[in-house]
Amino acid sequence: MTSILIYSIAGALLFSVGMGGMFVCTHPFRKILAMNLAGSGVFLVFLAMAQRHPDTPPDPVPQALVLTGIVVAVSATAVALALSGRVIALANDHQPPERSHGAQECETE
Amino acid sequence: MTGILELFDATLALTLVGIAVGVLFARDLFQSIVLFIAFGLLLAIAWCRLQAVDLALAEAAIGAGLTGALFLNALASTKQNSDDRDTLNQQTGHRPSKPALERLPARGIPRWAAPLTFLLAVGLVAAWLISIVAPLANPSVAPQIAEDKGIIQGGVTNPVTAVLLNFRAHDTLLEVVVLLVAVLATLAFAVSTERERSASPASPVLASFVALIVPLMVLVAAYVLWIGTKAPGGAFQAAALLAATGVLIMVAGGRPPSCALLRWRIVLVVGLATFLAVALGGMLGGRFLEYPPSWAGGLILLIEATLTVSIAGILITLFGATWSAGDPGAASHAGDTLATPTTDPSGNTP
Amino acid sequence: MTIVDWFSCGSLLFGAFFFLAGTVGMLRFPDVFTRLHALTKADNLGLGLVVFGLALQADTWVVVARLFLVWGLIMLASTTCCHLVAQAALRAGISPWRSPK
Repeated sequence: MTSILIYSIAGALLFSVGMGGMFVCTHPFRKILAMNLAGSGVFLVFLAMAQRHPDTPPDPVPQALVLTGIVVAVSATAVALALSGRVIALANDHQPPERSHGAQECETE
Repeated sequence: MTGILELFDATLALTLVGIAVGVLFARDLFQSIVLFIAFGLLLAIAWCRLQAVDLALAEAAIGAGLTGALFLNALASTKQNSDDRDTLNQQTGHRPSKPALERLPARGIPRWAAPLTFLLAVGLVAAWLISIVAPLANPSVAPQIAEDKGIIQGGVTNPVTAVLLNFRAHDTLLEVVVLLVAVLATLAFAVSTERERSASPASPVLASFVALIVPLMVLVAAYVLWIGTKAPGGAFQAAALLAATGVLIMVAGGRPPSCALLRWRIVLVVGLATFLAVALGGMLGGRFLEYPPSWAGGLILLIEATLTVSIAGILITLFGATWSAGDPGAASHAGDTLATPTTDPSGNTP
Repeated sequence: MTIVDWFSCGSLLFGAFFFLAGTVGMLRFPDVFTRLHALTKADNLGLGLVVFGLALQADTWVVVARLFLVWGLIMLASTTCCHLVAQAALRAGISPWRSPK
């Protein structure tokens, strides 16, 4: 087992865990965390594959792309957090008493 | 000796996956977010082991520090919103049946069956792909390109910086546009809950720490930017450090910058404007984004310096858009006070 | 192995021991204040020993200076964080743990 293979497998597992989390988790923030985990998994696989030889630094092109990816991921996270924060605020605001019974019925289904 | 290193790699990889599972299944969101920050820091070590030091710097500052701060901030402001609602309900005598969040969608998905199948499928496909691709130890052509061109024509000797700002500069140019679009979207969505400042003052210990650390962080950012032309470092890492400085100042009670100010808007776009100007200027003697070889080093440093300022401004704006709600003093009444101090790991990054 | 290597090795092992002690403390201590105590004290000493062990292996004085700068900065940051967490816990109404009589 080379370390490249170890990190490739870890990246694939992280992607799977993250994708699974995006399906399983219900809270929007946790979904966004899962998205970040899946993204990190992709970065890890990508960079592990970029390292063709164990003793040399990885290919600079994938490194630059992953660096770009990390910065884009944080901005996407900020947008997603702002959006879900607004959704949560709206859900809190528009909670008329008569609707809340209906909502509860939905949940018990 | 190699055996020990591989043991370390395997332990680190297992820890990463274990923490990722912990992030998803931790009891409360605060725990998830703290675990996510730990995940980012460990991932930075993994980048070091893969000899991608540029990425390790960016991951520690952005992936762990800023993303964690964004999450903690978002958590604190939603807690605060629902707390406000609870006090309102107590005053009006209305009791909500359930927290609004639990009424959000995501019903109808079987809780375990479908995702588990999906996990296994994705894991298998990924393992299969890796078993095909990883053993190919073919020498890649890109390092030679970077070595030949990077040193002779690129104007900088750090191959990653050469790729970012010379050979694939159009990627970076468009990335800055993406960041600006993200700022617009965040400002459009952000819940602006202006509230009066709490009576409890910010801690004097924090204030003196910030006074001591901020000049040092700015110095380190400048160093990282300058060293980026020949060693790991560069515009993104320096911008991340500057942004962490800005976040630290906000946590210590500073006001988030307002995008209504013309000078802040100039900060946000100066990097893109300089980049575009240089790119168009290159068309005079050659093609779009082509630097005159003798000037390449200086032009790249100019673009990097302005990009650092702009990206830091963008990241600070992304954080500040929702910060007004999370006043350090005001958070304490929400019972979720730990949100404020734990944003500090972003200050540890230098 | 030279005598310097032995010193370096011993210092790193001692450092790891203090990290282990700090972690055990964080897991076993009863409340937030005692856990902070375990983390900030044991880990800062452990880090100092690790830094000392690495500094013995450094080639130039610049590297030594950087290593000790890192140690100083982390001590500063962890002290501040410890204070903030403890302050926040007090404000949230958590009273320090007392041994049950």
